[in-house]
Amino acid sequence: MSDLADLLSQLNASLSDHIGLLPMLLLTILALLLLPLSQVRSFQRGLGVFALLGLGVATALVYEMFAFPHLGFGTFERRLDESYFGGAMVVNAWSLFFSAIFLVVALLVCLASLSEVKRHEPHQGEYYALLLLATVGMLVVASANDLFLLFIGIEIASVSTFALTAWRKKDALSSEAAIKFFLIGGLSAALLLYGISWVYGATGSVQLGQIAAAAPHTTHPEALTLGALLMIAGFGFKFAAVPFHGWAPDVYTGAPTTISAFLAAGSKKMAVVAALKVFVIGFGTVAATVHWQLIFGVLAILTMTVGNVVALWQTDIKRMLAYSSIGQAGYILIAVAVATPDAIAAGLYHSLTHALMKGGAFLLVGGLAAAGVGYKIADWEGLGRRSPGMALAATLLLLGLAGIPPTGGFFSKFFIFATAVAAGDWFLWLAVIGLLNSALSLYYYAKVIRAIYKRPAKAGAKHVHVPLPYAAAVILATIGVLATFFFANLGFGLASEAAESLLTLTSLR
Amino acid sequence: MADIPILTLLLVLSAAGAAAALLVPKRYAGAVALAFAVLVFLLSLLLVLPHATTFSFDYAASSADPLHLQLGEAHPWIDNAGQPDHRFGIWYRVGVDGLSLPMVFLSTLMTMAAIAYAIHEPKRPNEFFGLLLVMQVGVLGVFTAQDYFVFYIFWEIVLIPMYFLIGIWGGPRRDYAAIKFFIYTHVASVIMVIGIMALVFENLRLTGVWSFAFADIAASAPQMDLVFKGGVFAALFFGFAVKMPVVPFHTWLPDAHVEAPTAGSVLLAAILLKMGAYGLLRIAFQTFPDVLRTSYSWYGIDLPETRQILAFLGVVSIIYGAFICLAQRDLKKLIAYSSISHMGLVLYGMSTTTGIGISGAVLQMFAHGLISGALFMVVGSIHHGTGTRDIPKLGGLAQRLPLTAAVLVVASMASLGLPGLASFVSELTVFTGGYQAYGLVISPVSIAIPIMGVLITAAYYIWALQRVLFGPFVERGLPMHDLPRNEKVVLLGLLVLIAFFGIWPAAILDMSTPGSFEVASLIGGLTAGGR
Amino acid sequence: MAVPQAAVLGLGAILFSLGFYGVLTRTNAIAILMSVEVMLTAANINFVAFGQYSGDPAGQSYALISIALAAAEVAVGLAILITVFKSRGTIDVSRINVLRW
Repeated sequence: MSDLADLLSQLNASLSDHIGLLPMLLLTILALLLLPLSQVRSFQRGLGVFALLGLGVATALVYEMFAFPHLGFGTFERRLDESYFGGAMVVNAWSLFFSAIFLVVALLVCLASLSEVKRHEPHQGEYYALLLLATVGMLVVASANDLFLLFIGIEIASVSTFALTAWRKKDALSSEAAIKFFLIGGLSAALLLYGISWVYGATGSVQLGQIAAAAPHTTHPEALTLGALLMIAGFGFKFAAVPFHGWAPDVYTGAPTTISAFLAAGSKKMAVVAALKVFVIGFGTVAATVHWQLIFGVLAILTMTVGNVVALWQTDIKRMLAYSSIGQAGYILIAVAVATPDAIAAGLYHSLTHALMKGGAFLLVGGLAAAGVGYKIADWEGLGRRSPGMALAATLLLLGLAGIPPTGGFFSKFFIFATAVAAGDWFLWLAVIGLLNSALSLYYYAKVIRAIYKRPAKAGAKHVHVPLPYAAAVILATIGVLATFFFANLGFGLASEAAESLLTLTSLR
Repeated sequence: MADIPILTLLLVLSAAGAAAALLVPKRYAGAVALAFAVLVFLLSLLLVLPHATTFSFDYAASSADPLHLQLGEAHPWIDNAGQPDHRFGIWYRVGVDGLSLPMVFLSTLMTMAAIAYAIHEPKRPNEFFGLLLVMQVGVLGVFTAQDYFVFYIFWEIVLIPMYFLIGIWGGPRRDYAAIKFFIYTHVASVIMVIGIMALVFENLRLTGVWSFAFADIAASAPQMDLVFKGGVFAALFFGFAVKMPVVPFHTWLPDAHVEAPTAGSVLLAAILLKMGAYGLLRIAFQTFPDVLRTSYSWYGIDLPETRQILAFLGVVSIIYGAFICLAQRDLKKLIAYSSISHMGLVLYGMSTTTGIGISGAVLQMFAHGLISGALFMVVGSIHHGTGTRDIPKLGGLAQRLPLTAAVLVVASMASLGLPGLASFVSELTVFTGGYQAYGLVISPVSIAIPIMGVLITAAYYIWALQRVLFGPFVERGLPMHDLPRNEKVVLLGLLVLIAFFGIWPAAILDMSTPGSFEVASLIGGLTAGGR
Repeated sequence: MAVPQAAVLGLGAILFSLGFYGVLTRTNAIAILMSVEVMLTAANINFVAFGQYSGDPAGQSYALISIALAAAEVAVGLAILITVFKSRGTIDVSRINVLRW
């Protein structure tokens, strides 16, 4: 007995020492539990709820660490700022901000999955387990402070999402999307790892703080530049930045819609975290010689322009949202290129609002599809009559993506452009091009809104009943989009705190 | 002054009205919307009446210090004041002075009138009245905002309900008209926002303080480079000119008007066009008074003074709008083009930079709001009553629809500036200002040419009246009816107001004149001769 | 006795290039998958080489971990290829084009 008590107290002590890793640990255990549980025939419907509860608890933990330290478990009295495994992982405002984004997206997706995953479909346990594991991978990326750990996190998330994309094995589109996603994902992983190996060779370390310290004195600056370029290409694929974007529209169109939402809203942000961390911290000291800001600036211009222009011609809503996602990624790349603390905060805030808007929009598409409405813009005609609530949510989400008040997208874009201008220099042009793109993008969002409200519904079209879980997820996302407008001050304050805590990583050796 | 945040209350009540109109059962939507509109109107009436309540506009204080804001409210929004990395400085700032108050009053009055006129709208009434009230939120916000950011947000908010009003309730070519309206005005507001951002960052560079307040930026504007200011002025002017609209940025307007439902046209002509003129006066003129009197050179070409360029654009709008009117067959299009002509007069009045000219321009904005609203309504009634707006197909209407005919006559007379009706005084004061600034015939912008425009205006109205009302009646085999009761009440009420403000223009001039003279003295224009 | 570092890195670079060439030119999904594996191997060789020549044992451990990761990736990838083959009867990516690639 005393052995057990000893073990428990040791475990307890170990947990208290690693309190910041609790969300990841929890989700991993739940994912592993889901697999045996899925064998229990009578528990099929409970699997989703089980995963949802787990994500809820994890979100609450992150919230606890971030916002209400005074309610803490007694192990810490301030906002969490801890490093683990000799500095390989750091849980601070930065990682908590992104963990919150990832968990909220996972929550919304999991909620909507309750109706996307039909009662009779096989492999439900695997679906939710993979969803949780993908989330764990993203959380690892959020708190990793080490290139190799970053790579491991990205791989955990990627491999899980490959399988999720192919989850409907009988669906030819789903497996086609999966094979494209997998091959491109494998290529990007190879580029990334090869890049990391060169950075490791040039600086003798994979830990970001040590890279930053060693980089200016390296005897092989060309190895460092090569590593940086390879990593930019690797992140570019993950991020769907032009010219590495070709896979994204196909994958988003073919994957189960909940997974499209997860990829566009969640896993894309993973590349944002990773890129910001690696370049602002790791390469922060060699910005003058590696010119990564210029590269990201060019990528930003290409990405937003190509994304927005190609989106103009789309007739399929999922493809349109995919290209809009590429365009939006371009705005975030502006923040990566500018890389002042304020600009990073703006990029973070846009990551948050974009996760809500794009996640909400994809889930809305999925919910309507579940209610029998098609994927073409023409299929949405008359939606204003057939489902006024969802039509209103769609309007707000699309206006948010276009950056029209009163939505959070308005402020996050404003922050990005304003901080780019405030940084001066050639960043001004990024803001101007961004602004013009933003005006352009309104056209294709307005096209959908117009279809929703104007055209009379086709003869015989009945009222649309979006399943409750989907509707709930969409409504939550829409409320989030409104809240990020009215409480932009609070949100941007948190984002700046996160951005500042990123910069403290430099000092960690 | 008073503890009641009356301006915010106006905005909140309008928004609440919009929500209520959307949510109540279909057949009550109109009544609920009207109730809220009347409530907002009564509140704004209290605001305007001297000494009615503690939160009435203080005319004496306004005379003493014309551009001093009254009923101001300011709350930090996106701002971390007091912290070392202070940024954004976005505040919710609203307030009125003698220049914005007439516009606030006009907005509440015309929104109420438009809702009452359209109270029996059969197609999707909830959304219809909801959008009308959302638009009221937007325009009231634009007319009361004292912070660039808040101004821009409300400016954008106006766009959306108008797009839907044209796009859903519009005529046969509504898709095209709606998207054209949307793209034109959105591109304009993007250019405007580039100008605003440039201003904010220049202010930041000069003072080291983030601020979007009109007052703060106007205070640091004198230190800015004159060429920079010219560029920003051009960007802002473009934003406002598309909205007004000024020829050659006007082509969205006839399409939008022709396709829009009557209530939408009324609000578009009566209020939305005023946003552009008001923005010019409030932002461009007060922030950059010196730009107006500067002669820029552009790639070696010496341009005339900026104000003369504006005056020239105003004259072009007046003449072009009037001539195009002569050629119109569609009665509604005729009135749309006459709006371009009359807004040209507003621009011309402002460009004189004399106290009396600006004051006349403000009165012209108010009068045109009433008159164009009445005209669009009566054209809507003719369309309902006879099934067409095509001038050649109408004729002899005076015999069959005497009341409609009478209203059309009075409204047209008001529009062409008949003494005793509202726009006579405003045209007279604008031309007085024009004479002071540019003389009678000595320059391309002196008043002889715009006065020609007034003559053409008289010609096209009288010609149109003759074709529509008199002559043999064209039998078209359709049931015809005179004005229904609600339209009768609204139109007669508007005519009474048009006559009232024609006889006693001081009701508006008392508010606007001190501010106008103050703006004129900022610019360094003539301030003598009035009052 | 010592193999020069440049030779080892050169081997890695050659493997990486071969793999990259394969990814770009092959249309058989399994061939592409193998090419990706070759690229990953190049990275592993780099890790081992850098670790060995700078006396840092971490480099070899990175290589080991990445081999494990690659195995996981291949397992999932082959499973996806099987589902595609079942639904399409081919794993030629130039013929898997219902979506517009």
